[in-house]
Amino acid sequence: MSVEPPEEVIVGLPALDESPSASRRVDLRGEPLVPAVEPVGFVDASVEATTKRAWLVLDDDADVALDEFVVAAQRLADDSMLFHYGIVLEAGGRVEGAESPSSTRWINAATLPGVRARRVEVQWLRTVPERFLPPLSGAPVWRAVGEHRTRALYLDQMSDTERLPLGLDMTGQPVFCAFSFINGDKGGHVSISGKSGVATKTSYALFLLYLLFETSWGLRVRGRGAASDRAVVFCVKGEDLLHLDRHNTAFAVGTARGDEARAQWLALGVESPQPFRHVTFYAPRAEGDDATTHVANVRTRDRTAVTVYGWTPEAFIRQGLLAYVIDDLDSGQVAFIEQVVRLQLLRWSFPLAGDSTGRVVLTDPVDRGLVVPRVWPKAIRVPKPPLTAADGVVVSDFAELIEFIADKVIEDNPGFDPSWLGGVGSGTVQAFVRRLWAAEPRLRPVVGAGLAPVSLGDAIAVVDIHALHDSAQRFVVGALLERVWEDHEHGGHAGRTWVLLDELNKYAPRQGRSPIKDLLVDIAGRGRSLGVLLLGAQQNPSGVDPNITGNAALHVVGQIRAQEASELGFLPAELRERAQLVAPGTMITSQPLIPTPIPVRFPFPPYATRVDEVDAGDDVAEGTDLLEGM
Amino acid sequence: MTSMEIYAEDWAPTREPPAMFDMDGTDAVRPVESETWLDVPPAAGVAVPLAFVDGTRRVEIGLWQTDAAGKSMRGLAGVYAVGATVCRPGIPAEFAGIRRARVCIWGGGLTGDLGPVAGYHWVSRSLGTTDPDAPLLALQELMRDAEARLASDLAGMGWQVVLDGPLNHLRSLHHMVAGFAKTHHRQLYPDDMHLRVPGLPLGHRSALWALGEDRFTCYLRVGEPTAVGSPWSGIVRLELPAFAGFAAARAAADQLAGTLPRFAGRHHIDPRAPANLQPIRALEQHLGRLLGPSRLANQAGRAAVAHLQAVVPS
Repeated sequence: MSVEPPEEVIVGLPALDESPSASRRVDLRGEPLVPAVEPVGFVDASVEATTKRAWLVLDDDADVALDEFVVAAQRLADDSMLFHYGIVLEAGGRVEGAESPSSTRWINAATLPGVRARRVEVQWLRTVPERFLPPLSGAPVWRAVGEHRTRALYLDQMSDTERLPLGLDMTGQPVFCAFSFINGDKGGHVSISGKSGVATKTSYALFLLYLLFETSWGLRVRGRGAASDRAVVFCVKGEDLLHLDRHNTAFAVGTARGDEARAQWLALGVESPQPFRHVTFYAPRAEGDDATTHVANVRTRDRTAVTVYGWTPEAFIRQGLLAYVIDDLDSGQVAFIEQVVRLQLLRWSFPLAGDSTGRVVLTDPVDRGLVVPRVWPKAIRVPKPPLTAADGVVVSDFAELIEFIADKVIEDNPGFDPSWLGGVGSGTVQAFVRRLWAAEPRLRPVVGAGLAPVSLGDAIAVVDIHALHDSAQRFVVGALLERVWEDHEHGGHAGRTWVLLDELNKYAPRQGRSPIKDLLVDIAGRGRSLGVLLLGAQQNPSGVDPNITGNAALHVVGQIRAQEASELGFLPAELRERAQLVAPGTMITSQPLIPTPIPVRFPFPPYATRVDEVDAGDDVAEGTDLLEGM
Repeated sequence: MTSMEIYAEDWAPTREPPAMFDMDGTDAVRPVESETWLDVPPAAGVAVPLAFVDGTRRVEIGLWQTDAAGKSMRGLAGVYAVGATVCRPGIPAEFAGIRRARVCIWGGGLTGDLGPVAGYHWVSRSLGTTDPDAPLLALQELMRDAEARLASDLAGMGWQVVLDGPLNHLRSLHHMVAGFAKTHHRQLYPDDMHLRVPGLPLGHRSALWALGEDRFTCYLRVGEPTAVGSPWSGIVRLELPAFAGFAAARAAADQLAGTLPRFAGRHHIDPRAPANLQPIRALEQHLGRLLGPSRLANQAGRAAVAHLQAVVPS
């Protein structure tokens, strides 16, 4: 057997100085951007690493938690460097060698060999340069800090003047959003989803609003036109939002919570956060309020600190608000008669001579020798001379208005006039009138002579609607938004109007149609180009018209019900599960520039968001002011 | 009853020891570095390019051949593959020098290729002996020879070779080839020193002794045993060629003692850890894959036999 058998050479012999091409890929020496510190782990070589995701095996000395940002480096075939930036979505570990649960005991007793392996799963946010290549299995991975964090969060693609903080990441550093994606330039609107009570939807919306209107961030990002920017905040739960201008007692210096919150605000670049300063409060008048005093229906705030709002009969008619009175306008032919009555009211209404409280005199314009067209835009431009009470029917409140309408549309009434019917049958007329009478007690607080509208000249107007019936809430929201929309669509308002509205599912439900839903859908679709931007919130995104949530550029999710998670298709499966148990104060943000949602924390507010948070000093000050004013 | 210590063997009980045919003979041993026990700590050596050489073989079909006189001879068709894992500082380890051969080994001076069939071709090798175990031993020897040739080739190129097993199969020793014996078939040291071998700490080696006229040898701990494992687990024996002189052998032993523990096998992955080094285990698995599916080889072998039966009817 001295002759060697014919051997097939499958791999040749390597020269000592012959470096395999694969070795070049992991040779990162001399690359200035490769971190000089030890890596926290390596791309797991035992499983597939893809362009979307990879598992990282952690070094024994490193603890890497969910939501942390990491960077992996490799050298490409052309000798250039490629960096992968990712966020940790899941973490796990096991002892390799343990083949059954009982193995754990023997490994702990050191009678069975085992090696502890800890891994984290990463979703890649970005590669620099933009090459759709997977990370190199076995490549080192570091925490993304400094320049790498800048790249991971796309900060290099946001100018200094458009960075708006969304909160702090899990290491306490700010996460930013490009303001151009929420101010309407490239995108607009914010959609916030989460359970009531624990998801802190309103708290987060207020946090954004505070940054926009009360900090240098807001001034910087809003830029030119900032002075004309305004916000309308609807207060739907208790009187919580009527205290935004007062100090939060839990924010006090020296308390653990206060100090932590101050540190977080400082990390956000807000050195000395104070309560809202540029805010005005509005509430409906109290039940039983007479027509002249207009006392606000608030219990937790001095009533002089709150302005009563509402619509006079004249404003109600001239703004065409009848449409917002009826919730189910699309049922049957009610909409037909509503349109006719709305126009007829406009045509028939005249100012009451000597009155400055918005009463109107309703009478046939023909009898006054006036030709009022039957087209709304033309009819509203017809100048009307003041009339006396003897010239027609004087309307001072909503009840009198309905009474007049009923007299005109019900056949047996003395004032019956077929020109008010729109050709609908008596059944539709009855349905229409029934709805108006049902709405009367609900709208009574907000429609009446002498009531003043919400001033849209304020920087932030907080409009309390919580004590109103659902129908009245919809009316107020619809009426106010109609005015805002009109301001922007035809009035050419210079700035932007931010509308903070919770319970969107109530105003723009997925099923059915209504004037307010149509308006909200219109705002969602065209608002960003016209400067009306929604900060919408909802407990159940499945209950909101998808045209509204779908148009939002920035999505924010707090704790959410399991059955709603399927609505949040933009969240990876892990974050959908986490969204069901995130703690208050943590929100998951999804913005257009960053392809993966980023969980953030936002700080406890310096302003009171509940009456029991109001600092005692503020209560005393308000009492003193009140006494001095008497 | 005297007190006893009992240990579990850190070795896969189902596997035959890799050196079962490599009994080291009875070459005389004598001390060259120290006549008394010596515990040499690892030197902080510079990492050098290492080539770990190993091979694997498989019997793919057993054969019988009967001559005109009715005398039967055993044979076999088998395959072996040898190769190396080369490890250099800063460069990923890779497989190199992979070679494979299929042979048909006959006893009693008989000859005859098997195949080619379906891409399988076993080239005839003839043995003079009629010992029925001879073909299997011959296959093992062919593999060992191939390993030795590969080791010499790599050493000639400048690689420090760690050859799996003792050096007694090398026709001509090369000063860059070291033998790496994982199993211990004979006691080399006197009793008192032999008892101290398992006490070597990680990376420490014992004194170099001469093994016959052409080799030096010493024990080295490359890894720790498991909690219940034998103290001998993790002890390997290095063999170094003597012709380059004692100083060169000692330098190589120190170099390897400082280097090899890094490559120790992991208990939870390899039942023959830690002595079965990671590069060796990976190479064994790689070579195993290169042998191809044994079922297909067996089918091809049977087809080849059927073909021969049809051509040469009995």
